[in-house]
Amino acid sequence: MDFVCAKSDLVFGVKLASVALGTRSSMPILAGLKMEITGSHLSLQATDLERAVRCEIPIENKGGDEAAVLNGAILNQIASHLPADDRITFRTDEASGTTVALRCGETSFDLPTLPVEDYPEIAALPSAKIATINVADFHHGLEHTAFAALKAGETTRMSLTGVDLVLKANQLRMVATNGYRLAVKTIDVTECQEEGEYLIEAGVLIDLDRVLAQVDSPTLDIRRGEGQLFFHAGAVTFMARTIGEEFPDFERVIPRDNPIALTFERRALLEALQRIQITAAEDSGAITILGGTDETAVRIRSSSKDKGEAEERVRLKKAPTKPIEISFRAEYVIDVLKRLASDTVTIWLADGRKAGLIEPAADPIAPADQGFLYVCMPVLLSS
Amino acid sequence: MDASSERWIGHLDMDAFFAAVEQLDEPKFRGKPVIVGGLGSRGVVATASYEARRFGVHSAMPMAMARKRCPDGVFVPPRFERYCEISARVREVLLRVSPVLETVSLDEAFFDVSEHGAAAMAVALAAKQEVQRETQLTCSVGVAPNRFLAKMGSDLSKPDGFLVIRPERVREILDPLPIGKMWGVGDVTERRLRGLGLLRIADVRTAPVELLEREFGRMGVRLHELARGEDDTPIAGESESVSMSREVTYAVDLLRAEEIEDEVRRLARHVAGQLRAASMLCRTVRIKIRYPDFRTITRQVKLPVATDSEGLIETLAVHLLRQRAELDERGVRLLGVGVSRLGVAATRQLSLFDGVPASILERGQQAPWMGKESMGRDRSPL
Repeated sequence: MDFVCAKSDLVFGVKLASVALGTRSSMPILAGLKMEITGSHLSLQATDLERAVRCEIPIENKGGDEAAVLNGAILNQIASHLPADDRITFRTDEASGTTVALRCGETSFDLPTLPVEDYPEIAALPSAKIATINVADFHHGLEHTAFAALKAGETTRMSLTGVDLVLKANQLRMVATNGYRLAVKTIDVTECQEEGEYLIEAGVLIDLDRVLAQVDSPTLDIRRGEGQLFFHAGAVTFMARTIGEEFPDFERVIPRDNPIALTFERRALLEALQRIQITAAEDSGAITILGGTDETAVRIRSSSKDKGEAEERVRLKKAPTKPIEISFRAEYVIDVLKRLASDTVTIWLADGRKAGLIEPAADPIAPADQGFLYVCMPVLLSS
Repeated sequence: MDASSERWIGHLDMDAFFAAVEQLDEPKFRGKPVIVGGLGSRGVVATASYEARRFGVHSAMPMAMARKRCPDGVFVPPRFERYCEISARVREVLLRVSPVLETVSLDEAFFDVSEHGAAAMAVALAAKQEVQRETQLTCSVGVAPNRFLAKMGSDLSKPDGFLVIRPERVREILDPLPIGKMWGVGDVTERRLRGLGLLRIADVRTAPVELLEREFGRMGVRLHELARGEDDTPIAGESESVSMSREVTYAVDLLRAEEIEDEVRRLARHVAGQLRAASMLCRTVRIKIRYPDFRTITRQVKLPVATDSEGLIETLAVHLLRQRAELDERGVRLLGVGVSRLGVAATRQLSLFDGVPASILERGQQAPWMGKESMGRDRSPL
């Protein structure tokens, strides 16, 4: 291996690929970052077997098409602290063949290589696209859904750790749930060649989002592999494994005609909930919303045996059409209010035992909030 | 202290519950000796109807002996789902009169009627009548200033009884009773008390407390208190003593590990169903294993958050079996799964999807056995 590349390109490639570096001690090779030269391109790859990142940077190749695996964490640290010089050279030590010399300005590192033949084969990028989407829309979609899933390790139900991606009728629906609340975001797809449904771990998609934030590409195309989905933007490919478990039938649980609308100024409601949550009972984390038809406000309350009680009056845009009393886990409502951008939100309710629907309210909906809805099941309190 | 601040505890006990339910659902069993329990060769009697008790059949008796004593009896296996359903209706009635309810088992509960003041007895009696109307079954209720006396009241008045034990009548009622009638005194304690010449509750009451303490330790002091009719145990919606469980003694020992695990899963789902039917949550899951040599072990795990999730209870029961119990080629004779530290599902986060056992383990409470590696996920290379 013998090449020269621009410092900015190397830093970009190493930072991106490092997102997917493995940490499991059972497979030490996954701590490695694979560098593979093809002509005047260097591909940098990392994987933890759940996800893989591959990105290509241009190089000035002085040798043949070769590959090497270096410790990814070390390379990442070096990339963060390179001296002020634009060019970096990489050269395999001819004598041993087991170290690579990296030089930048007056600095040089000799880095041991890991056995390249141990590195797992990452599937090649399939040629056929199934859809093309706008990166900014996809980012908002993840921001509005991934939080609603459980973390891997919190459950044995893998479907509850994922974001379900449903491609249908030129739209992408992104859906996540922990079994108690559900977030749905529908975004337009620039092009959709093939409809389908794919479930991917939320944490993996959040890493994809981190990668996309650094890639200068307005669009992203999606390709389908065997048990994986490939996301391709600019010079970067991100591969994610799909979860082979069925996602719950979410359409069925979205309440379509809850008659009682409580429309709030979003920030006012968020801040009130953050205060009232302080005295919420520890087991349920519940706050109770009480509204009557004679007032354009609701009272929000909480009470706990040890911490005390709190109540606050929060203004509504319009008095409710029916009296209502319902309790929610405060965190579930706060989670969504924090992530919205619109000035007003509406909570649609039927009664204290039925699911509530939370949506950004009109006049106007912030562009980032378009296509979003959230369903939350109440908490039943004893009385 | 005025009358309204007195404590009045009720204890409701359904009469011969499982057998009575069978007689209710199957008219041709009525008036006959009905015996509910495990029908296998090593089953035991869960409940015997009053008709069967006349033949000397009682609960916990080996089924083989029950068959010998009552050859013409009607022997039926238990239908827990049905009992749970009726039990839940009883709870509903009691919750209407009492904010504090302690469910001891499917057929027994303590409730607090103190807040009704002078009307406490009338309210308790009305609750008994309402339970009978609602379930078409009889029950017995004791009302007293504490838990122990309330339980004694329902026991003494069975069946279809109602007994109020006022403080001034405690001695008159308790004193003449043989010590075996005292709640909490089992066969072994009874024998030891008799050995000391203490035959009636009055004897225990008048015995020097030092003697009882020397013989029985702390339990001796407690016995002395109970004999005086004193008991300050609170009734609680949540208590270690409250539990639900399901145990099966197998006709033939189970040998294969997969078979044992399948049984544990089945029992766990059953108990979870019982919990849900009773609208309760648990915070401890335990398993019980009896080996062919009768050595018996129990293993339990405590949960950070109360649950009634079938999936979680099943997962934890299997975890206990795999990680904390030894199995060898001798197999097992009995398996049981139980839940305890029960709470009335006073506060309950409703689920979006029926039957989806979402994790009850909230953020930061990851259970080590639920690590990614153990999830059986396909880990083939990319």
